[in-house]
Amino acid sequence: MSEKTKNTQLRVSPSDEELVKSAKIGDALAFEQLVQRYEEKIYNLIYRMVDDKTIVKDILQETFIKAYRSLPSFRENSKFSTWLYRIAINFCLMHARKKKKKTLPLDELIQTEEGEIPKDIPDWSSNPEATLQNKELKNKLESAISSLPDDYKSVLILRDIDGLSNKEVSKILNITVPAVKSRIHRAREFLRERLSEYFSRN
Amino acid sequence: MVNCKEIFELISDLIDEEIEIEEELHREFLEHISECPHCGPFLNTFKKTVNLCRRIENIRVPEEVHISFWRSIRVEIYKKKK
Repeated sequence: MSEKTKNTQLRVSPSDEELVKSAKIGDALAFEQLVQRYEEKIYNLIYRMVDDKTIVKDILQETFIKAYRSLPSFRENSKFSTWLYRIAINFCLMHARKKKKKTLPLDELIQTEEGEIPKDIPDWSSNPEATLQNKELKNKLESAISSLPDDYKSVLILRDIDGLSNKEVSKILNITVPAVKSRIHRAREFLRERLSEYFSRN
Repeated sequence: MVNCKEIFELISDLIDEEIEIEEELHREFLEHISECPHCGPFLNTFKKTVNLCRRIENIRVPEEVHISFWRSIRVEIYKKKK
């Protein structure tokens, strides 16, 4: 192994915190690295949050430009990713408000009353069709997610698709952990019902 | 005795392992779930739904979006400060 490859392997990529510190004192390349790290994640978050896919690229730009301009005032008492997710979510919600999208409260979407367990549930969990390779099911799931009211959709995306903790989600959305837990629970149940419908029809 | 309603309410916490429940209560939960004609299928399909969500993969940023995005980012960060 040559010296050069050894060096490359030994080099540990800097943490977000280190990059933030460098970017704050004017290191543009450090900021570029942060952008590289989060471009795809933020793109996907926005893509799933908004209905109008033509505005995804605008919100993506707005998010990172806002992050760049606000960096001097980022106090680093949360993770950079939490802060960035929050900027992106706020832009998504702002655009949704502009469009005055009418959303039904989840109570109306979920037919069962809260706390009441639905009866006669077919168990499709071990059905070989219950996989994302099943394109029809995947589409059903994605469209069910996109039909969730924004408050629930954001929690579901961050919690179950991005795999963030309840605590991180609560910081990003500025709501309490119990509120995150209650929303994730109801969002999951909504999706479970939609998937059950799919299996009862097929 | 645990009932269906309790299972329903705690199911997200249970699968997220957020709550520490006493061993005895946990045994009661499992017993109930294995016997109850509603809770068993409910728990299984609920878990499956969460697992499907967790497996959703990110889509790649389309090339033309990626290019125009980077162009505007670079304009922003390399523009001369006044």
